[in-house]
This record gives sequence, C-alpha cells and structure tokens, in this order.
Amino acid sequence: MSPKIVVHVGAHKTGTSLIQKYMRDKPRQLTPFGVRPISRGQTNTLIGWGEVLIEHPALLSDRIAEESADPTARYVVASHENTLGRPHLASGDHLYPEAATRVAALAGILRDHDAMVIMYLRPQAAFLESYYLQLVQQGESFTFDQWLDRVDFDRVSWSPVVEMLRNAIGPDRVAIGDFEEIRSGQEPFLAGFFRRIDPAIDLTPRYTAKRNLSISEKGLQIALAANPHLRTADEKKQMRDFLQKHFSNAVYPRPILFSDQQRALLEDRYGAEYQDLVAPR
Amino acid sequence: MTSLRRIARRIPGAVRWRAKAARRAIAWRFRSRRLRGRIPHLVVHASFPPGLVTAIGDALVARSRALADDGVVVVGGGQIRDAGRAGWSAVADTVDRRKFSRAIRQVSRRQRVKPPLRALVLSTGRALGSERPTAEETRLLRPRAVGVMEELVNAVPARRVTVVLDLPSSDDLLGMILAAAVERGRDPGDLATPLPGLTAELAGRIESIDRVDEVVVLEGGEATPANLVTCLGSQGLAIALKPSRGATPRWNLRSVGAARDVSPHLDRAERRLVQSHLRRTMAEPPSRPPQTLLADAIRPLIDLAGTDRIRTLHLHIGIQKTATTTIQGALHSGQTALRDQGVVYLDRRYMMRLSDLRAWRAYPHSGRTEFSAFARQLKGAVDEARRTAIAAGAPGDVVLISNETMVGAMEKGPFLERPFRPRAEAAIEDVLDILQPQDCRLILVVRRQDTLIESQYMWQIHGGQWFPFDRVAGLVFDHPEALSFTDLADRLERIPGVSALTVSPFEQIRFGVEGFLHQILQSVGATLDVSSLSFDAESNPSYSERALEIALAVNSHLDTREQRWAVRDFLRAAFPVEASGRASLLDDATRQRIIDLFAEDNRRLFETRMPHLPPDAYATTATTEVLAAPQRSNSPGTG
Repeated sequence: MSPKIVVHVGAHKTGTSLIQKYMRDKPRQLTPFGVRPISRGQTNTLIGWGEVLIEHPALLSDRIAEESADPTARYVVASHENTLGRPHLASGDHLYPEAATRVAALAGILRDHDAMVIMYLRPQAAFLESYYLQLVQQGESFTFDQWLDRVDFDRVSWSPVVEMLRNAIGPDRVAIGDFEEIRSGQEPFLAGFFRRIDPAIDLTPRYTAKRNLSISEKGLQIALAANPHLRTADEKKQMRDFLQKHFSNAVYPRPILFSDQQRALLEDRYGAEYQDLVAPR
Repeated sequence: MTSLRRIARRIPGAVRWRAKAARRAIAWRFRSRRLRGRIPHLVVHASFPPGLVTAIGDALVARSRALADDGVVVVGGGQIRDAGRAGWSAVADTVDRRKFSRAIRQVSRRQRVKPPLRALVLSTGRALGSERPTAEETRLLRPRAVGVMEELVNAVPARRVTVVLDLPSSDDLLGMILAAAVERGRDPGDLATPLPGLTAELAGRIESIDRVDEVVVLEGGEATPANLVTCLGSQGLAIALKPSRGATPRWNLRSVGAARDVSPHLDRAERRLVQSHLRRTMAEPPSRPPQTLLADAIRPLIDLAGTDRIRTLHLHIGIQKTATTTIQGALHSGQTALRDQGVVYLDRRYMMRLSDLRAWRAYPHSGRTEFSAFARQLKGAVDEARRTAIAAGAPGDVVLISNETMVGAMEKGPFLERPFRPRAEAAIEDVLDILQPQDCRLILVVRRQDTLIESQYMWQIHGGQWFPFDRVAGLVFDHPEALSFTDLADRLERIPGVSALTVSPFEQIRFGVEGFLHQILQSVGATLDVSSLSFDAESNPSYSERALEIALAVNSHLDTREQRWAVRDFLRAAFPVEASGRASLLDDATRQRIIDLFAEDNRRLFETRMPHLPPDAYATTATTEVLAAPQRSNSPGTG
C-alpha cells in the first residue's frame, strides 16, 4: 500500500522548527508508526522558497517516490515553512502573496498520491510580533513601530492562503492547526501534529530540548543598538546566539510590542475568522 | 625550610617540595648568592597602556634561558603579577620594599643566570600607575607616574637604573581615552586636543627621580622585544612576540560605536559581558581606530606623507532621483579632464559590478556575501584607477566616487523607511573602513519632498511594484521625519572620518547641466566643460499617464526581472510622455500641504547648509523656480 504523503507548509513562526528538529532528533520514536521524515536540509533543495516546486517539480516527486518505495513507510512527512514563499507584509493582498503559483505546483506534485497538507496558524498579533523579533534577530534594526509602517492591517488575513490551499489541494486534504496549542507544552503540541496526520499515530513524544528561544525586552534593546554596526552574516549569527544565550525571554521579561489598542484592533478584525479557520472540520 | 616552601608556592611552575626538599633548598640558596647585593643594571620597561609591555615581557621571559646566558635576568608578564601579590599593591601603588624585592629576586633565581649578572629587566605595565586613562591625560600623561616609579626602583637596589618607556602617539592616546570612557559606559563626548610634547614631559618627570639614570622613550608602538634587547646590549638574539590566543581584541571604530550605542541599556555587569562580545565579534578588518570617532579639530592629523593612502576622498552620494545618472554620465565622459586636474574618478558602474557588492551595508539584507571579498574588490578597483592616473602623471591622491547607493539602496514597497535613508551611515562607514582616506568630503544633492516622493514612486513602478501612490503619500503626513533633509545632513556630518558636507538643490539642474555640475564639482576643486562631453542628459525617461495606468494593472503578474524590464521598455516606447503627458500624481492642494509640512525643516536646511541661496527656496513651487535661475553667488555652503 502506498504511504500517505504529508507536506507541512508552515506558516512561519508556528513551531515548524520544533517539529522539524523533533523528527530529526528522535526518529526512533517515529519508526514504530511508519513515519518517514524528509529532512529539513533536503527540503531546502527540494522546495527552496517554493520556486523549486515550480521550476523542478520532479525533485520533490522523485524524493517522495524514493521514500514511498520502502515497504515499512506508512507516512512520508516533509516539513518546510518556506513552501508558500516569503511572507511579504509590505506588498501583496495577503500574508503569502507568492503562494498561488507555489500551491498550484504543489497540488500537481501531490495529485496522484494519498496526500495531505498541514498548515499551522497563529493569531495575527502574535504572528506579527514573532515575525518582527525574528527579523531583528537576523540583523535588522528598525523599531517595531517603524516596521509596522510596512504592514497593512487590512491585508494580514490567513483566509486567502487557506482558501487557496483548500481549492487547489482539496478541502478534505488540508488540515489547519492552531499554534496556540503550544501553550499546553511542546510535547502535547508535537503529539497533536502527528494526530492531525492520522489519529492512529498515537505518539507520546519525549522531547524536552528548548528550540528557538526568543529575545527579551533587554535583548531587543541591545540588538537594535548593535545591529546597525554588524557587517557580516557570521557577526549577525554570533550576535543572535549571544542574545539568545544571555538575554533570552527565559531570563528577562518578554518585549511588549503591540499596544492594547492595536492588539484589540487586530482581535476585532480577525478573531472570529481565525477561530473559524482553526476549528475542526 | 618552611618559608622557602611558602615562597616556592608563590612562584608559578615552581618545583614542589617533597622528599628531596632539603637537597633542593641547598641548591637554591647556592644560586641565590649570585643575586645578593646590588644589581648592576636595573632596566624598568614600562608602558602606557599596560597591554603591550605585558606581551613583550612574556616574550622575553619565554627566552629567559638565552638571556640568562648573556647575564640578563628578566622578570615580566605573569611573574610580575605574582611578585605584585607578594608586596606591591597596584591599587595603592605602594611597595612593601622588603617583600617585593624578595619576590623579584626569587623569580630571578629560577632563571639560573650565569655570572657575571649584567642586568635585571623588570617589564611591567603598572610602573606608570595602573589607573584607567582619563580625559585629563590629554593635558598631563600618567599624573602619578613619578610616585609609582620611585617606589618601584627603590624596592630593587641597583647600581644603575634605566627606564624604557613605551608610550602611545597622541592619536593612539585619544583612542585609549575614548575606549576607556566607553568601557565605563560613558559617551566619550568632546576631548581636549592632546598638548604637544606630552611624552617628553613624562620622560622628564621620570628622569627627575634621583635613582633613575637614564630614560629611553619609544613612541607609537616602537617597542618590540628586539629593540629592548638592543637597549640591553644583547645583540643577535631573536625574540618574537607570541600571538595572543583568546585575548580580547583591541577596540576599533565599529566595536566602540556599537558599545557606545548599547551602553544606555545595560548595567555594569551586563556592559562588561556585551562589550567583550562586541570586541570579539567585530574584530575582523578592515577597520579604523576608535579615535576616528572624534572630530578632526580634536584629533591630531596623522602625517601620512609618503604613504599611498588617499589624501581626500570625495563622495557624491546622491540621493537617488536627483539626476545622479546624468551627473555620472558627465563625470565618466570627463574623467580624463578630471584626471588632468588631479582627481581620480571612479564610475558607479565599476562599483556596482563588484561580484560581492551585496556584502555592503548599503543593502537592506546585506551580509549574504563575504565582506572581505567586497572590500578587496572595491579597494582593488580604486587602486587600479589610481595607478592608471599615476601612470599618466597625475598625483592620484584625490579620488571622487559618484554613487547614490552610498546613502543606502532604496527598499521597495509601499512604505517610507525611517529615518530618511537609514543605511547611509553604515554604507559610508564601510567605504571609509575599506579605503581609509585621510579625509572624506561628502556631496549631497537634495530635492523638494513633494517631487521626490513622486519620483521615488515612479521608480518603484518602473521596478515592478503596483501599489497606489496614495499609500505612500498618506505616510508622509504620519511620519515627516522619514523625509527630513536636516536630519539626514546632520547624521551624514557625524560619520566618523567625514570632514565636510556640501549640499546642493537638485532643482538647479533646470538652469542647465553645466551649472549644476559646476556646483557639484566646486567642492572637489575641479571643473568640466560640458560642451566637450558626450553623455545622455535625460538618462531615465519617465512614465506617461497611460503607461503608469497600464503598469499598475500589469505589474502584479510579472514574476521575473526580465519580464519587468521588458514591460518597462515597452511602456516607455509605446506610451511616451510626449504623446500622453507625464503622469500626474499629486493635486495642487496636496502638493502644497506637503510643501508646508516640510517648510520649517527645509528653511533650516537652506539657512545652515546653503546660506548663499534663498532660505525659502522650498516654500512654494514659485520660490523653488528661483533656484533654476542663475545665482548671484555660486559658492556652495559647507556644513
């Protein structure tokens, strides 16, 4: 029997690293269920920023076929948060303006398989804050206020990209997850991910490694002051590692970026829509 | 026996006393007799700052056997620290003579000097006082040096005392004072210019000490193990400085700048942690010394005559949409004439073709290619242009580069970056770090904000964007600081190493390219006869009303750069401005609102940066027209 093909497409900042690193670090916990992950390193080549799906669809197809050939494989899982392209917040009509062509290409690759696409979402305010902090940790030095100039609050709906996936892949083959589940802990979150693939995967993950610590308020202040002076990718990486080690939100208070008013505005605008999207169907 | 054991424990690497303790004690005492009484020649090697002398002391100690064969005992580096614990309080700078002398002698004994003993070298960074440098030292270097040195030489009886002083140049001294201030979390602020003859004055004070017979001053990093050995008369002994492993790298301009900016957010313990990280992370060359932060009026000019450094670097930095392509075309065409006037011109195209250009901090997501490769390529291109000029008989020490990306590449999208051209300082600092000119002068061309945003918007549409103009126009009122020329000019002028900023208004180009070019070249000290040049005066044709309409509808469907360029060329050719009129973006009322929004800022700009022009030149469209007429005085203002 052909295995089920699962492509986890993001979104960014919704625990994708945690899922990818769990599959990398704990393959023995997955083997009994027949889960065969395609590594994040490989998906970089097979998917890239989604453009590889369009230009060289055979790369992913062939890799899926290779994994599927293993008789013990019941699920082939590729998790790659860049599948839908870059989240362009400054231009475009929604969060992933490059997604249309990428989703179409992915649908073509998955057409002849028992396949599903999983996408996790998180509320807009938390997504924007987290995305901003990631940019700063990558070396940017604009303040949150300055960065928000680039964000059009009218265009940060998750609906268009979810609709796009459902239309292209098929409504029953798309699962939408809620990143808020992480509040109950990273192990239950991981278990939830695999249950979305198939409730038969009754996995109890044992994985306590901390992934992607974010910077604290103080770490943010240091980064904004020091980043304009950083020159190379290596310097930026060293600064990121240094801040995560000494000035993370595990040690110092978290940064408060949105005002209550802005947060309420986003909640009013998108709260109901979000709940509708992540509700079980 | 017990006391000898105790002493031995104080000496690093000393043999522990176990079963053979008695026999060793006898041998020790036997050797110690050779150092009893007065030492023939005490050489105190002292430095400010302490770091270098420590390194030299360590290097000498590493060769102590060879020196001992020549009758020289060396006490330095780590040994002096142990001796210090035995009797010399670095804090109070008081010496318990008996303890200190004994500790020094014990260290000396271990080197098994062969008689006759000629000299004892004491290499210590603390002999001039161990306090951190302060701003007052630009007036009096190491104010407590005499007291400390006196205590030290009195603690070691010797027949003759020589003090070798390793002192910084005035320029380095400023760097040390500045770094020390930053380490304490203070903004260095203004420092007084170092008085001339500071080192000679210090040498005089040391020489006035009764027991000091002579003082040798080595200034500006002249001190090496080799020339210290020469001072001792030990010829032919090669001693190399050991590369320091794991030591915190020296401050440079970039790390000091980062530490200064970060400091306000940190307490003392955090500051030390972060500063250490910054020094290590930002140690990679190319870099400039921290004292470059100080204004040239304070910082003494280093005499670089005879070196191959650029004497004056002129940077025409745009901004974008101020006829830079036209200017660059003219300068390129006239580069031979410029060379004949002593100016080496590097065309923007050379710079923008460098394969690792994207490492330059002018770009929003720089750092994806190797900066060292970019630095090599840029330096190579400039050196090549200079060599060509020198081969043609020109001096080659004045360089002009015209490149609007010097203020930072514009980011695409429906927003205004804040502050105005946020990457300008970093982009120019990179160029200065790489080219290390003695002097840098900037030429900035400004443009009234209403026409500037129109032109920037059209550039974005030419580049494939499709957002409506209103999105950007609305942001102007929310964030006028995003287009403040006074702020940009102030920031440019504060860039370390920049000595002058010349500002000209773009609108003068309507009077003619020649006059406009003349304004720009005036600060370079060159002229060009435009009639003799061949270049395209209208390099970037605009979109017509219809072309804009079609571009807004089509651009969202274009995926590649080639597609965007093809559409752009098609629209320019098929719907030229001549046929359907230039695209109009702002109505008269909105235009005047924008003009009014910046009226005060622009007035200040003209008053301070272009005093020869009417201060209300940007107050209305009519007053701006005046700029297009010949001015009575053509001398540009300099900031």
